[in-house]
Amino acid sequence: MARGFWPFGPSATTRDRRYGATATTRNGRHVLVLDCGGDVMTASGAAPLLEVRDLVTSIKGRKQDLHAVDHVSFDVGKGEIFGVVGESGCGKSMTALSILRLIPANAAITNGSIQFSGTDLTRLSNGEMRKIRGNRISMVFQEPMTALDPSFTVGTQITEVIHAHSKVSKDEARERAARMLDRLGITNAASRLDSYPHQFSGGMRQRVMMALALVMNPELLIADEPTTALDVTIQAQILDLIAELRRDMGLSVLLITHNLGVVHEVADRVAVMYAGEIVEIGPVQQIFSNPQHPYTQGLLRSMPYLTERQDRLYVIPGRVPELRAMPTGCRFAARCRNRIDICTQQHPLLEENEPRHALRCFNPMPYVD
Amino acid sequence: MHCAASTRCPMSTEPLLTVANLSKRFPVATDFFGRPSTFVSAVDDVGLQVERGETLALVGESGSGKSTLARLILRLIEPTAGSVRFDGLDVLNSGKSQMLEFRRKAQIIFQDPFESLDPRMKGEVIVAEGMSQVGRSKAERKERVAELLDLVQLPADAAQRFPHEFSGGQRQRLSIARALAVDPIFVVADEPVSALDVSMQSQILNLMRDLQDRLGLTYLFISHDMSVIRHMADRVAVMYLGRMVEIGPAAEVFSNPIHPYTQALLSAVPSLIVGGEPPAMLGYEAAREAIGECSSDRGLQPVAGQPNHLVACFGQDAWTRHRGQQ
Ligand SMILES: Nc1ncnc2c1ncn2[C@@H]1O[C@H](COP(=O)(O)OP(=O)(O)OP(=O)(O)O)[C@@H](O)[C@H]1O
Ligand SMILES: Nc1ncnc2c1ncn2[C@@H]1O[C@H](COP(=O)(O)OP(=O)(O)OP(=O)(O)O)[C@@H](O)[C@H]1O
Ligand code: SF4
Ligand SMILES: [Mg+2]
Ligand SMILES: [Mg+2]
Repeated sequence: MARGFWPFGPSATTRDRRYGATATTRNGRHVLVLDCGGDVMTASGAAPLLEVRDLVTSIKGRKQDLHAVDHVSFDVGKGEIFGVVGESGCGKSMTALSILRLIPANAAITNGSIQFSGTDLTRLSNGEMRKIRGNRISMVFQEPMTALDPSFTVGTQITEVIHAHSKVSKDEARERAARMLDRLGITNAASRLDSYPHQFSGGMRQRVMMALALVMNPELLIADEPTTALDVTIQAQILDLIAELRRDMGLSVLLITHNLGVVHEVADRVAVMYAGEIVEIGPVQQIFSNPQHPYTQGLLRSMPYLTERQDRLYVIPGRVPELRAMPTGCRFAARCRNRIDICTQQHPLLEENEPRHALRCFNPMPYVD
Repeated sequence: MHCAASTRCPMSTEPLLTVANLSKRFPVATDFFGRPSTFVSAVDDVGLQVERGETLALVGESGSGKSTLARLILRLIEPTAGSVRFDGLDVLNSGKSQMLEFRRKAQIIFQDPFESLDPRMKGEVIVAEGMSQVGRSKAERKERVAELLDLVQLPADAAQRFPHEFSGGQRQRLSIARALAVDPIFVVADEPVSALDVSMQSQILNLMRDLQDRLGLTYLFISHDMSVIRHMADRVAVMYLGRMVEIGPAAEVFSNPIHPYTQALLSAVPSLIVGGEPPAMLGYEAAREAIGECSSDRGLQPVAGQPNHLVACFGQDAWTRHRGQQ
């Protein structure tokens, strides 16, 4: 473990350069301020495969640069499934795209590091990055049609990936592609290889993306809303496949989804994002049974029930602040029912509140469902 | 009572939408001479009705033909066979001016927003696009656009942004705003909230129900999320392999699903669902008892004691045969 980490010296504040963690004394108690990282970010035991530290991704604005991803830090351990949930527009996709350097042209990574297997991805050349992409790290994009080429058959697109990263015969590549589609629940997979993306349904395209991502047996799968267009039976099949690949090949997964049921079912740990920041992070069981951040609590409360038709669904009142006008205090303050004075004056830091569970909140409250 | 075609008839008991024997086969492979050789029966002899002011939810396996059915109803693609009647209009046999009116009244929120939004248009242009036909001044239009963007919780600068400058869920909300902009009476919503976090999702679903209460909107609501369906649907139609296999009042379908696929749908819901016990899977024999022996391969038959709840025959033979054809 890095120097100056734990236990803390008597000095009020020590700063660890690498992790940027700060130890301070509050209410006579030593606390680790995880502004950027620390134990809580890390998977149990295993060395992390991916370490994102202090990542800032900015979008060039007319007047100022906007931080779509604002000092985000987390780890994904080897063989771990790490979930990311959060408000629409809070920066989840931008975080994922930053890792693979696929952010839009008007955006740039302006701070932080992304360690993958000991290499800082932010320092690689474009050529080196291309070798990693689709091979060691692959991605399932939120909207399949942004990634699929409409003018090539699905078979061509999948075999192209296989040929780009390995030496196999044409027939072998085709067979491998068909097998992958079949495992993802596409009926008559071999004959559907000759179809074009527009000839597939929404959910089938999503599975084609998944096939593209998994066919090279990557070490890390970044999946951005991979099951949104899938009915539960096929969703279950895909989640089983992911679990199987994790067990057999040690696949690690960064899973972005708004589907809390899916996170609950497959993820080991989860980060909750709000307005560009992580506001709560920890093991899934802890976060779901005992959410501490008012935003996380609101999310859980907003889930519709299956058993009865509700008159109105619960919504978190108010709306997310705009990137251009981020408040200086807590970004959730305008919508928070636990708000106290300090919330609008100071920006809360991500702090550990129980082992491996951290929180960005001045006034957490126990969760009553 | 008789009403002139295409005028809205207040006393009419005719459903807003009647679909009969609708089918669509797509060629998916061609032979040596370039002739289609393999087909997919995306929609296979589907019939349904949607009453004014109700929400009919369409659920089904991925690839079962939901989006195709939606496109057929709106005549975005032409069917292989069948008919569509909407608000007194024979949709598949109507001329240009009637279609123009139909296109305003019946809107669609597409499943893949990125694909359906013109990348060169700014948010405000996208939303205002269909509006000019309704006859508003420029200032009124601008105001209405701002109002709509606000309704779907988009940031104020959304009007000036291009589609690729939004997040996935923001794009989805943009296409919802666009569909609502022309004051439709019927909206086909194809997975309209699939990219939204649960709070935003609830917000949009509440908005859709409010608009329905206020303006009498009619929805065909496609979703794979059963808890969303539970909240939105008056009736539920279940599709499987291009066919309608079960349809009925939402409460009945949820509490007493008969078709094996419907049962599977309701039992495989990820485990966080609060307070919900998955319905017990009926054995094949028990399910058979609920609808009795079926006489035909295709017809929907009422469930015992639930006259509005219909289920397709799923005799072992019928299904293996059908699977083989796909
Ligand atoms: N090319 C772009 N130009 C300007 N702003 C952008 C661009 N792409 C994204 N944004 C903005 O950056 C923020 C983060 O977007 P991101 O796509 O990461 O959101 P998200 O968390 O994935 O949301 P969703 O759940 O809706 O997909 C959003 O406010 C979005 O409007
Ligand atoms: N243009 C097309 N050409 C060929 N086949 C098509 C075309 N459009 C759809 N299909 C096929 O028709 C079937 C039904 O597709 P459809 O998009 O209607 O499914 P869906 O129920 O909407 O599925 P999802 O839930 O995955 O969106 C699929 O097998 C699909 O591959
Ligand atoms: S810091 Fe204050 S305003 Fe922010 S979430 Fe916590 S209690 Fe609410
Ligand atoms: Mg996204
Ligand atoms: Mg579809």
